[in-house]
Amino acid sequence: MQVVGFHVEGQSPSPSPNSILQDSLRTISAGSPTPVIIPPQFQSQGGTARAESGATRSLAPEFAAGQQGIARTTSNTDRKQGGQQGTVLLTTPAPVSLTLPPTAADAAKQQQQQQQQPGAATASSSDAAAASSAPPAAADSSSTSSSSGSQAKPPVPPPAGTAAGSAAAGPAAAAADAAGSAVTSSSSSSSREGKKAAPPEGQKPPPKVPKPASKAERRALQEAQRAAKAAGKGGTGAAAAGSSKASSAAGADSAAAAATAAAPGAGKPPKAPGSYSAAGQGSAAAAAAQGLGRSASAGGGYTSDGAGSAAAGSRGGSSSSGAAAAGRPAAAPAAAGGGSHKARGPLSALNSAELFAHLQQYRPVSVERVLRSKEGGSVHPAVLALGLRYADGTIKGSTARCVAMVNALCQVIADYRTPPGKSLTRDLMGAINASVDFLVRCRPLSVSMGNAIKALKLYLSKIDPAETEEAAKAHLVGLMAEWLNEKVALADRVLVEHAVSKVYDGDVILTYAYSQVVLEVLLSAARQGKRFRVLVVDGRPELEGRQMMRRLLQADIPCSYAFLSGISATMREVSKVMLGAAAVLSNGTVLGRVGSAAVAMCAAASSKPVLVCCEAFKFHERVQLDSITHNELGDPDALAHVPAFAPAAAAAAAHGTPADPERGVLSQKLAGWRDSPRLALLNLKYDAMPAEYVTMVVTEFGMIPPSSVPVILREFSESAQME
Amino acid sequence: MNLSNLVEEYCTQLRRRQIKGSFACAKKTAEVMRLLITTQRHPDAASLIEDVRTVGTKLQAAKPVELGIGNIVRRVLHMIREEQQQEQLEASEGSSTPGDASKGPQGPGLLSQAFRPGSNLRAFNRAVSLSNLLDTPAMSADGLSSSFSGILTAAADAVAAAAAGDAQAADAEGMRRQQSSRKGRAPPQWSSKNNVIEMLNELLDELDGIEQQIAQQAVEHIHANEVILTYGMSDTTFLFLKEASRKREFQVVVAEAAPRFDGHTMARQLADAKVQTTLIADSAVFAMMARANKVLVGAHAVLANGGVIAPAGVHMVALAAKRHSIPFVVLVGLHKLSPLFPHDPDVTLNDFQSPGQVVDFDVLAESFMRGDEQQPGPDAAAAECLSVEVHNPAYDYIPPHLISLFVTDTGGYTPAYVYRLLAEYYSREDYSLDKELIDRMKL
Repeated sequence: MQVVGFHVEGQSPSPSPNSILQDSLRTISAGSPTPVIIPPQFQSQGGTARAESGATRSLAPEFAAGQQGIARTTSNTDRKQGGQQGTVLLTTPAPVSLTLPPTAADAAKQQQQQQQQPGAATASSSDAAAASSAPPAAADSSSTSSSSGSQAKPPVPPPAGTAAGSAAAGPAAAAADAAGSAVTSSSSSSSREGKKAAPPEGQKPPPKVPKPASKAERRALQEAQRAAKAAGKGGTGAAAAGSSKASSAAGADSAAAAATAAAPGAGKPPKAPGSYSAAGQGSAAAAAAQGLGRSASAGGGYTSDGAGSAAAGSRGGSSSSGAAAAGRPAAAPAAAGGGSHKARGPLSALNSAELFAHLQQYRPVSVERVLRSKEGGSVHPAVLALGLRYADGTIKGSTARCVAMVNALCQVIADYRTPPGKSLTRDLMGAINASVDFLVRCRPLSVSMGNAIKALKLYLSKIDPAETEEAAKAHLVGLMAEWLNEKVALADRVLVEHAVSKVYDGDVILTYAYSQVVLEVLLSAARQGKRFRVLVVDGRPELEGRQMMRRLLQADIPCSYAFLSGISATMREVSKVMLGAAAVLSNGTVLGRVGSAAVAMCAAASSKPVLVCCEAFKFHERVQLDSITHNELGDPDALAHVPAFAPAAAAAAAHGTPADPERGVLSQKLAGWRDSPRLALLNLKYDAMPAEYVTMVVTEFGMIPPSSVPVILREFSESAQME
Repeated sequence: MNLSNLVEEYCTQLRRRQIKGSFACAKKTAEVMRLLITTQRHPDAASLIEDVRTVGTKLQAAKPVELGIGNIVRRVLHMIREEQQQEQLEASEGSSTPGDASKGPQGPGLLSQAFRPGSNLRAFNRAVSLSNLLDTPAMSADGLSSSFSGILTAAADAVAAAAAGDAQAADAEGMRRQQSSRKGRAPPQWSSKNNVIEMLNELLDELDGIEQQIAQQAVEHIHANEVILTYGMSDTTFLFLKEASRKREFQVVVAEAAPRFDGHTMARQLADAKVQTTLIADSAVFAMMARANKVLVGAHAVLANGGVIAPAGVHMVALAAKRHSIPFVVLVGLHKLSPLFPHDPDVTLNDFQSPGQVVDFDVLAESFMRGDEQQPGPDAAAAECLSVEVHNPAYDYIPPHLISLFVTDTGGYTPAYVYRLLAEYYSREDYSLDKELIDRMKL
């Protein structure tokens, strides 16, 4: 697969070489041949893509006909821009393998049309049957793709005598198999469990007693639970009833009582996903049932975690039930997410879950979970890959994310085929919405992305129904290319010109973390021969400022570097502050990387001018007064890791904590922090900077005070309507 | 005598930063002072003051940023001076009628006496200022001499002796002459020295009890279900919160205080002490301030204007608290009260630490190497490029207008009251310990 599109310079600050995508790619290719199912709408496309493997498909295929290997942008506007800006395609080495086993692919091709009707049970089951030649993969696929998964009756009955397999219906067995074959992210510990559990699967006796004692039985129990849960999740899809029946049947037949207890818990999410009351009920009910209490309460925790996240809850549930069955004190491995926290201690006052209950809770996104999720099965592979790259942070920064998303969506549009009897405008809107929903699951949208989607939908709604499908798609893609070009690439260039005029000889410019546009401004000023110094202030846990400093030093711009805590001592020598932004809201509030508000505040306290560089496509009509109402929660574990060179890390290293080059060393004091019910780590991503700290906002329209933001917004919306 | 060795060793430890924290430094200084006073022979107060000041200056010079050392030295000096004055007063009482002494030269009903009943001897203690100039028409010569510090010490002594007019002073004078003429016979001890030693022991006990004293007030300051924000690790703050948690349910948000990350320690200890704790990055302080009710931090030193020297990053916290109108409370033992004024505090009262804590040297090396490979620019540019600065300050200065309250071992005070505390604990003559500076001023 190729990600095709425009490249705005420095699109992602540091596409780190080992993203989870690549990691998972390795695991995947080792584990099972076809971990990724290509959704029905795209299967034919996937097939062709595979056929011309190595070739690049570009946004508008007609231009790319002759170009093999090297990708080029193809939109007319970009061509006009010439080579200097935004003409090189971002070619990503296919991060997710898309190869289907030939049989499955062929079957899919044949029955593509029917499969798009949700009721086509026969088609999907035959597809599954065809695919059953590759057992784990097919099983996986049937559980991931929601439409076919719930209907797949008996894809892989594993050898008789297995705990779960013997009696379990399709999805349950599929999930158990999938767990066994460990198609998981590098980080999830459950995968390791699964791997261990897989080999003895065949010899396991069915656990008859509620409290099995032997290791094998415990494992069987775990697997049965996992299966039940996966089945429950499958049930959230189109045909919920059948699959949940199947899962409860699986539980009953295998006599794994814990599994039955877990099944109702897993069955809850469709009714109230992410609601804490549901979690409470689940755990309360479970506590009543002696012996099963642990697993079920963990199941309840899972329900609070939201429908899409299987691993966290099930991991906690299975392992704790295993421990309980063995009669040992439950040393449950830390299960991610607020839900499991909830299940552990009744008093969890300032959990991020409570203080920030209104925000999307952080859940580590793994390939495994994405594939299992309802959305993961049906989105375009480009979107899938993009979502994973958002999740692991290899694409970050609001501009980069926006550009990457538009590229992916253009690819969705290009690969889209209107099903017969439907209109392009309506149905494509659905496909785009599904893609966006998936991306939101991976990481909440930025304002810039929201604006891009808004523009796309506006264009889509204005498509002339008389146009042919191909023409309409090309038109749409062209419009989006133009949008990117005008609102992002061109705007950036004009903005940089404006901002450079504010850099004088002898300036000491303070900047915070990494901002692409600020870097452009500084580099451009240096190219013009201005002599100035940059003070890079950096904030944990991302420490993006190091990247900023590296780039500046490479351009021979003298730098200073300090942590945010040292800002006050160094503020005196600063002559102006230049910050990037994720968004500017209509009350003048600037959303930025967490910490930028503190920087602006310190600057304002020392009477230094604060310049915020922000293109107008990141403006938004929303208003916000503090950073709590809208924010994003990051990985709390990132806080527990300190840079490997810090003194605190030295102590940890002496203690034998292994160093992770990406994240640093786990702080010795915080090792095992999840086990402490009263300790929570909170990793906020954004900051709302009050307008009073902002001297001016530099946009492509010039330099304006923050109070003028609504004016620009109004002009924007008027001009959009004029079009 | 191994006193000088001990002082040397302590100085070396200070220079090498082997003693961490202002409390440890204060304690150690007090111990050295006690040793100095108990082991050396001093014929009178003046010689003792001279000795203490010499050693104290030396200690302070070993680590100028550790203001606690100077504070303790000043406290000791103040004790000696008080004792000296007490002695003089008693002597004058002995010579004149007892009833006269209380009415004395000042006369009743004056402001200073109205506010400080029964301690008219303190009037001697205070330098001439607008507030007491009119109160003390018969200001003692001693006070004048020290405040103007233009009169020769010998003359002052003579006047003081004349004013006191008793045998003991004359005796001391005689002894000093003996000492100066280097007689082999050991001079007798200053008679009130034991009182000073007793007070010094009290001071040491007081130091040990400071954290408890502060913690005891916790319940008065924390109410139920509060969200308290703190920054980094402070033993005082930890004990304060722990004490409060015995009676109240509340939550603490701890900022981690990079690059030292002692917030991690704080968070872990608080959680272990059964306080609901949330750890955040320093950068999230502004965001979290919207949810906080109160900010509690420890400090490194309190300055004469009511400002505070605190770990780097606290200024940002204080500004955020001010912006959100949240009380910013500084928990501080009075051994940290310093009579210095902040002049250029970001530099003069700061300690810049190893840049290795902040940035990986490899990162720097990498950027330089790449820059060279790509485009070997002109030499001047390359040289300039090499001048990358990495700041790692240890302290911040927080101006008094950002501080709502000091909670000290003797109670709560506002920054505006700090000047008054200074007068209570230190003598004005000792505000500057630097002997050379004083000498220069005299000349």
